Order: sequence, then C-alpha cells, then structure tokens
Amino acid sequence: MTVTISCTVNGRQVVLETEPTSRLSDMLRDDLLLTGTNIGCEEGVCGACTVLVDGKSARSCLLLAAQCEGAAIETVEGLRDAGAPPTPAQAALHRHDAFQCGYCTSGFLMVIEEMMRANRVAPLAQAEVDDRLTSVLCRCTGYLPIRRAVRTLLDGDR
Amino acid sequence: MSSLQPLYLRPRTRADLAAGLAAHHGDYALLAGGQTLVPLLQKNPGKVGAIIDLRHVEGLSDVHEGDAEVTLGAMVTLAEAQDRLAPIFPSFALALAKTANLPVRNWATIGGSLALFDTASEAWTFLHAYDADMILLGPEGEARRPVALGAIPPGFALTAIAIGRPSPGEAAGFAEILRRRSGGRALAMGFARSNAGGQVTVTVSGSGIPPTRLGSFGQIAGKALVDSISKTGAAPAVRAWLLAAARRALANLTEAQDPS
Amino acid sequence: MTARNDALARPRAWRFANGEGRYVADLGTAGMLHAAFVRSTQAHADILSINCDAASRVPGVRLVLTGADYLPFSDAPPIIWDVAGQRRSGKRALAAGRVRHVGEAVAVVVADRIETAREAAALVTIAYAARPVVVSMEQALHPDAPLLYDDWPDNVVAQGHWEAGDVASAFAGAETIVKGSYISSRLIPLSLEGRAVIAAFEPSRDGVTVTTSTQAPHQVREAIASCLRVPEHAIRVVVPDVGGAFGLKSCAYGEEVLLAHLALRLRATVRWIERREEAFVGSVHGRDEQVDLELALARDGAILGLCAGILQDKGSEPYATSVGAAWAGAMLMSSLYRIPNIRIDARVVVTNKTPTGAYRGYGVPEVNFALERGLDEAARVLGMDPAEIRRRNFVPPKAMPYMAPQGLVLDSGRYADMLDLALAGFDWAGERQAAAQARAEGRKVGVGLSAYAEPTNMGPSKLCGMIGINAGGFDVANVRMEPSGHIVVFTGQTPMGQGVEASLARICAEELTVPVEDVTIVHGDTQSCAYTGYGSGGSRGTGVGGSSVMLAAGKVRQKLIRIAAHMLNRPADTLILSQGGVQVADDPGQRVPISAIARAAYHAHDLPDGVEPGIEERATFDPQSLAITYGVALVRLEVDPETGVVDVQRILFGHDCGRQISPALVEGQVVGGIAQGIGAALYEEFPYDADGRPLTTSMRDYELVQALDIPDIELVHLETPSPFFPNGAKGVGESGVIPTPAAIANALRDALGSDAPPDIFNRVPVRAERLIAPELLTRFSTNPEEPKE
Repeated sequence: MTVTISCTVNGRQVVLETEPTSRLSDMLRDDLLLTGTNIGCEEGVCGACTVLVDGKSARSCLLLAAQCEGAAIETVEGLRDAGAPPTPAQAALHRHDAFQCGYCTSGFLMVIEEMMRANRVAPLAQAEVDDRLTSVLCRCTGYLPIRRAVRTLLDGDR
Repeated sequence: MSSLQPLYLRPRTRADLAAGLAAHHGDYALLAGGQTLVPLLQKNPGKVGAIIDLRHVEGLSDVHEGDAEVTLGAMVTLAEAQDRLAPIFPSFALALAKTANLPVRNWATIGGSLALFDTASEAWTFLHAYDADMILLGPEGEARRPVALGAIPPGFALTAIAIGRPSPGEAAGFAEILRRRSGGRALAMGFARSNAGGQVTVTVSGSGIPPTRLGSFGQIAGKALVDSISKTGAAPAVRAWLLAAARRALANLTEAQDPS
Repeated sequence: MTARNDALARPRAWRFANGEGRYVADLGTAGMLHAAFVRSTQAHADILSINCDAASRVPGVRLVLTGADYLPFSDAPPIIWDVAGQRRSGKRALAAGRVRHVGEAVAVVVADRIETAREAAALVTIAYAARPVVVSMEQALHPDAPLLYDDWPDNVVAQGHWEAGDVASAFAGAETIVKGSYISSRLIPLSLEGRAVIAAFEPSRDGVTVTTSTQAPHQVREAIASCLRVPEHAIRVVVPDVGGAFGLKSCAYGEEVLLAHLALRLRATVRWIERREEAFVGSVHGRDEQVDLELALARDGAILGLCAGILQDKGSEPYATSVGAAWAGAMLMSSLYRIPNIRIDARVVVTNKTPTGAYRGYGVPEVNFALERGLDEAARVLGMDPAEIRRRNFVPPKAMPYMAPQGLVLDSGRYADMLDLALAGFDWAGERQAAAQARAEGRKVGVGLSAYAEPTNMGPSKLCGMIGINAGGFDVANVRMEPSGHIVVFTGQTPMGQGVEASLARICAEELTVPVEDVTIVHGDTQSCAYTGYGSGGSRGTGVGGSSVMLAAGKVRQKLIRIAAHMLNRPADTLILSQGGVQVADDPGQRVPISAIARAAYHAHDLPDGVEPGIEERATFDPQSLAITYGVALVRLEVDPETGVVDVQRILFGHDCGRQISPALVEGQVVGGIAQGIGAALYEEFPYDADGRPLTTSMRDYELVQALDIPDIELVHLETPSPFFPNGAKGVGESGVIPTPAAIANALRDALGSDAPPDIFNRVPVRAERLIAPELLTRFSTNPEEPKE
C-alpha cells in the first residue's frame, strides 16, 4: 500500500503518494528533487540532513514521510528565493570559510536558522548556542570557523 | 513498488489504537517520534506487518500535573518534557538537556525512549530513580507497570508515564560523565535524591550498566558507595565513572539543599 | 584564532551555502538501475555456495552477479605503490571462493529500484566454511599463523630495510638509550559523503561514463581500462562535488570497476550509493601501525642513532596503496633531525580486517608519534627541556638541501626559528611553570609539544619510479583564453573541499594580472582535463598542480605580449602585462586590454608572422624534489583523575608551508587537520573482536570530534619558499593531523607525571579508561562479597 501525504515544503503545498517506510529525506530528495539536504549516516548522528519541521529542527532521515502529514517543512532551498541576496547566515558561513566540502553545510544552516529565530525571541546563552552546534558533524573545518561565524551572526542580530 | 511494505495506520482514538493492536497480533511497530524506530525499519524492511502512527491519537501529548503525581503522555517530546518539568524536576530537565541533541529532542518522545528499551538513556535512568510507572493500554484497558520492570509486554501500547511528585523538603542532584565536552554517549550518569529525613538514594547507569539504585545511605558514606558500585560487576573504569557520577550527583544535591 | 578580513577565499564556493553542491547521489537519470551489494558476514571463510535464486526472482531485478561470475570479465586491479618482491592478492570487486574480511563484497544485485535491489540482496544466501581468523599483526606473524593467501609463504606483503652509518657503534657509545613501542590504532577516514558511483553506457563511443566521488579521476580511468580491457578513450571519469575524502578516495576501488562493467554489460546506467554501515567495512581504513623505536643519545641530547621497526596492518589485502604508508613512514623516520646512524625495518602484513588505504598523513603521523614520544622520554631521562632536545638535533638551514641517510631530502626550512616563534607565542616556559604549579596543588595539568615534517608536492616522476610508485609525479595544465578574454584552466587536480580550485585560480590570475573572477577552473573530467600523474593526494595540488598552471599561464602571457607588440607596433621587450592589459613599460598611455588582444587572436585577421590563431597553452611541471613542510604543535590540557576524561584547553600550531598562495585555505587545512588529530589522539578507534567482527558499524559508537571538542587554536607561521617550485608553495593538507597526537600524548605524560607508566601514553587513542588514577581503581573490591579494605 501507499500513504498519501499532504504538507507544505518551503511554503508550497505538496500532495504525494509514498511508501509507509519512506523517510522524509527520501521524499525531499527523490520525490521533490530537493537534493540540498544531504545524507551522511542514516541514523541521525551526523546532522547533514537536518531540516525544519513546523519550525523545529529535525533529522529528515529519522522521520517517516508519513509522519509529516499536515506539517510545514523547510529545507536549505527555502532559505532564500531564487535571485535574492544570501541570508546573513549564508554570507557569514562563506565569509568565515565555515565550510570546505559543503556536505554538512545545509544541516548547519538549518540549525542556525532555528537558532536565529529563537535568538530573536530571547537571546540565547552561549552554552545553548554551543549545545546546538554540536548537533551537526563536520569533518573538514575543525568547527572553529563555524563557531566564529555563528558568534558574529548572533551578536549582529541582537 | 516494494513487495515488503507494511500497512500504515493512523488511529485517532484510543479505541482505534486498541483495535489496531488487537488486529495485528504483535506484528506491528508503534511509531512515536521515529527517532529510534525509523533506522530500524530501514535495516529490516518488511519485518513488520503494520506501522501504527501514534501522532494523531487524542491525549497522548498531554502533561497533567496532579497533586500526587505528574503524568506525561507518551507522545510528549523530550524537548517539551525538558520545558514542562523543569520547575518540578530540575534534575530531569538538566539531564534531558544532555540527551542526544536538539533536532532529536524535538521529535524523540518519552514513550519512544522507554518502548525501545534504551536503558542507558537519561530518561530511563531518571524514571527508574523516581519509581515512575508506565501506563499501558492493552486488551483489558489501562494497566500500570513500574518502569523498573523493563520492557513493555507485547499487545500493550505505552500511553503515559506517571511520576510521583517530590515530597516536601526533597532535594535532587544530577551528574553525567562525558568523554567529550560535546557529549556523545554518556560514560556514566547519576541521579541523587534526598528526603526531608536525610535519607539519600543514588541511581546510576551508563557504559552498558542499566539503571542501578545504589541502596540508601543514612549519610553520604564513601565506602558504602564504593562497595555498592563494586556489586554492579562493571569493568574497573566503568566503576570509576559510576562512582564519579554518583559522587557528583550527591555533590550537586548538597548544593541544591544549601543555596548559599 | 583571529578573524581575517581579506577577500573571500573561495568565491565560487557559494553553491554550498545555497544547498547547491552537487554530489554523486544528487545526480542520476530517470530509468537508471540501482546496485546493492551482498557483503560477507564472515572474517575468513571459504564460500561453499551462493544461492541467488530467490533474489533473481524478485520482480524488477535485472542481474545478480557473484564473484565467480565476474572473475572472467575483470583482471586484477593495478597497485599504485608497487615495490619489488611484494605479494599481490589478485582480488577483484567481488570475492571469488573465499572471503577475507567482514564487509567484503560477495555479490551484487542490479534492479530497477534501489529498494528492490536491497531487498533482493538480502535474499542471497551464502554457505560458508569458516577458517581460522587472523585479527592482529602479532597473530599474522606467528610461525603457525593461518595463511590468508595459500600461494604466499607467510602473511607478509613485503619487507624493507634501510641502513646507513654505523648503528651498532652509535648505540654502544650512547649515554642513554630510549626504547618504546608506539601504536597508532586503526581508525576510519570517514568522509561525510560516502563513496558513490554512477556508470552510464555511452553508445556514441561504445564506452562508459563513470561519475564517481574520487580524488583521482585519471587513476580511476586507468584502473577501469586495465581491469576490463577497455581502451582508455572509451572511458570518461567525471567527478562532481566531493563531500570529503581525506585519502580514502585517493585510489580506485573495485566497485568503480564493477559498476563500469555493469553499465557496459547491461548497456544501461547503473548507480551505487554506499550506505554508512557499508562504508564502515567497505571503504579503506587508516593507521593500524606499530613503530618499535630505539634512540641512542649523547649526554647533551644529540641523537647518535636510531633503530626502528615499522609494522603495518594492511587488513585483508595490499589494496592499491599497498606498502606505501609504511615506506613513506620509513622515509620520514628522521623527520627534521640530523641522525647520522639509522636502521629501519618495515614489514607489512595481512589480517582478516578491512584493507587499510591512504588516510590523511599516510604513514607520517605514525612515525611522528613514535619519534616525538621517544624524544620526550629522552628529554625526561636526560633532564632536558623537551623543546631543547629538539632544537639540539634540528638540521640547520645552512645544511640544506640535506639528505637524510635513508634518502629523505629536506629542501628548505628554518626549524629553530619556527620553534622559537611557537615557544614564544605559547609562552612555553610560563605554561610549563603554571602546569607544574597546578600539579603541586594536586591537579593533573600538562603541556606537551611535537615537531613535524610533512612531505608535500608529491613527485618528482623519477623519485616515484625509484620508490616504487606506479605513476608519474608530474602535473599538466591547459590554460585557454576565450575570445572575451576570460580564462579557463583545465586541471587534473580535484577539489574535495580543500579549495585547490581557488588556489589555482589565484595563481593564474596573478600571473596574468587579472581579477580572480576572470579565471574559471575546470576539473574532474578525464575527457577535458589534463592528465595528472598522481591526482590530488600527497598535498601536491598547489605546489605541483599550481606550478603547471603558473607555467602555462606564463606562456599565455608571452603570447599576449607578442600579439600586443604587433597591435601597438612596439618591440615586445618594451611591453609589460599589467592590470589586465599590455602596455609600454614607461608609457601607460600606450596600452591594449587583454580582451582586445584575445579578440584579435581569435579573429586572426592581422596576427604577427608565426603566431597561431587563438590562445591556448599547455605546460607540464615535474618537480625536482619533494617539498618538506614543517612545524610544531604545543598543547595544554588537564586530566580529570577520577574519570580519566581529558580537557584539551589550548593548542598553538606553528607551521611553514613556503609561500602561502591562499592564507585562508592554509588555515582551513591546518585547523581541520588538528581536529582530526585530536580525534586520533583521544577518541577514534575501530576495534574488532577475536572473531574478526567489527565492534561498531555505527556513527553512534565511532566517536568523532564535535564542535565543543576543539579548543581555541592559535596559529603562527613562517614563509620559507621552497627553492624547487616556481611559486615557492609547499603543501599543507596533512600538517595538522601529523604532530597533534604526539603533542597531546606528551602533554598527558606531563600531566600524569613520572609515576605513571610511560606505556599508557604510547598508544593512541589514549582513552579515558587508561588515565584514571590507579589508586582509584584498586579501592573497588574485586569480589563484592569480600571487600579488600
């Protein structure tokens, strides 16, 4: 059997049929061709596939697509409109050389997006920022440029 | 289209859920947050006849703060539990903040953590330390079962957890030993509780040792603690970590009692 | 680290911030087929039978292929590091008759959907007859050890011996002799993107296009051509964005060859995306090396002699890299030091584990760990400052180029100046004193250092031949100026995050005095890009690849000036190229922009005699020598004595990689390498049980460093250009990972003090388990019923 899912992805209504064990990451990449969400470990550890579901960060490899019935899903492709200037987070990561191979970058961008939204409501303590950054693995940069980019980003956003 | 795909059920009521459980005779997977279940389904596609999604079942995400106990619906996420329980069980909120990471806590549920029997988890250890009960839905309706008894019997679904409120004057402490600052799997963790009468208990877990209550101590006696950790049969380094977690949980307890 | 304010290091890397990186798994075509592997669950066994019937009957399955089926279609793959007398496995992509490690591919299923392929693969049943398992080097070398290969006399791939000077006399006359066995455990390179291959049949040339995540497209093409007996021109290898490599993608894999075979056989497009659990056992591992070291020292700390035994575990087969890491380690054994009498023996053995290949550092971190730990113990015995014993033995600049007895050439460098710079930046004396003070108060605080040499700019071709590398060491660049004046560089180098494309663009832009935006780098395509002898490995992209770009761009410049001389009607020797135009040297008013010259070159209406239309130049660069990057790492840390948990608090890293073409990229490489070095020093290990089963195939249990595990890192540097490279640049890709484990182990040794047995620091990772104060462990009763106390 298949399951029908109706949800929004980056603000656009999506209705599709999927297999019960198909994951959100499968739906995004294979059905919607949103390949900016990368798959690293398939067990929720590396964080490369992190997206926002109803505004909350989620490992798209740890959710079934069918669980997202009625949900609002945001991916890296939705961070800015085509042709629009880069978001402050995108610009900060680039300026600080906070990515090398780029494979983890989408995950970091989504975690940072969630962080920026929370920070606007109530400034996040450094410990909270640090904790959130441990949720995505990077093998290239040694993290320091990422931490530096996020620090300047949150400071500038307050 | 794969030949081995299970059915996908989205019950809306407890009655629908009970009917679903009965119809599939144990050949089902209960889907809560998905954080542990989804990778298992990927590794063994076709091993279950049905996936029963608990998300739409009424009332499973409720938190009820009663006079005697706090009831957490099975679908309450770890992130929600962290927020909601901080005023009542500050040590649990601290422990949850150390559990996995935010994207996982946003979706992982209390029920899922228990149902998939991850005894090394912070949630399981806390609930063990606080003598919590699982509230199960089965063929005969609701049943209570202590968390300490372990796995959920087949045919039952976990709908809620009931935790007794701390008694007046009770203090709590939590400590965790991590290999790395960033976290990862805890080497050891400990929850300490003390009642107004000065009776102290410590529950520890980690590195393959399931939650273990290290007896009751009239006072914080080093030797009694060391002896009770020796009885866990853990490897030497693990004993050291359990001891450190216990001592630090106790130290945090002392601080909590004495705000100065 | 301090923030930089210079221009963007990689202007073209924007795509990654947009989620527009394109990795192999993002590519594919409608109607393509999918491959899934059946992998061995046994460490060592004969395959009695394979039953593919159930799998073949699954609707949608196109082909099920076993090792025996595949054998006639594929020759054994080439060996990259091919020393005389070494033994070969002859292994193809699929095991035939016998498996030798858990995870070895046994069969492949091709189906119209990936889910179908995986389900069918699960239905393939294999009957095994278990053989005795060899899981350690000690077992492999035992006289009665079971053999992995029946036609080998033992389990040794090859052994090497290097000796110079009079080692026996050096040891006889020594004030002190320091001995130790230093172990770098098995670990996994783990790129976040696993391996991935799409092979597409190409009817137009009766060939195949293989899109793969590799560091070496030309080498993959050669492997496919040689194994499948297909001419090279029929094979095109394309490399899109690579999601990390770290050496694990530096040589061809059997899967790349097999996928090409499947595409040719089925006249279809076939895709394989490695899964993470598959990567743990199917992609090559790293390190797993033991170095037994003896140092003979004089009273003043001078190293009189060195004896080393290098023992490397290759896992189940030599693989393409074969003995390379051990041989490279032997070359680098003397590091930055003048050691007149040296004896080195290297032995490389097979065991029933996943093959080890190339991982960042490639044999050098292993010997660095041994030598720098040994020197620390020597300093302790002689009562010297650890920094001083290193300074005492450095090869001085005036002795360079210096050839070490075993053949290593130190081309250039100011080792003592570097040490001084780093010691001052770290306040070594102050930190040592503060740590001693903290220890006096009962805390376990320590500081440690390690100096290092990094062999970079892999080449020259002649040296490659001498040391058994089955490839050249040169690089080729083609530089084309388009009619608009825009410049396109075609290189065999492959970006994998390190930013080599940005460095090449910068080199070309500087040479032609244009903005870097006016240069586009084309890479990762064997059909359009220049051949490279060795691909992107051995930290050679900027030094060797960049030099070839510089030379080709220089030819373009000459041509521009020649055409401009004709256009301006002035002698060429009065003209210079400056800021994107050619002008009369002392009269900027007489000037013609590059775009006008390019247009004239392509119109060819009025070119000087003998000048061909168009602008397209090619240059080859084959270096005269390796270039030795060097530096020093200093660490302060604290150990929690109750738990053994280590808090790395401070790292200062000094390095000299010659001229820095892109300082930001250099910093990125160094810091990223240090992070992997911290992981190797304290956390990362890939253990097996006694039956040869890996103890984890999950990232939950394989502990990689995360954001908070890296302390603040201070960098200091010198720039001593290499005399052998036109652009003066040396490589830097492996720097950080080389000295960090030894520096951390030395700091741990300092923290725990003289009472601790030195052996616990001689094996990395030094896990928390080993650092708990022994008196805390002994107070637990061994028998709970009878407390000792």
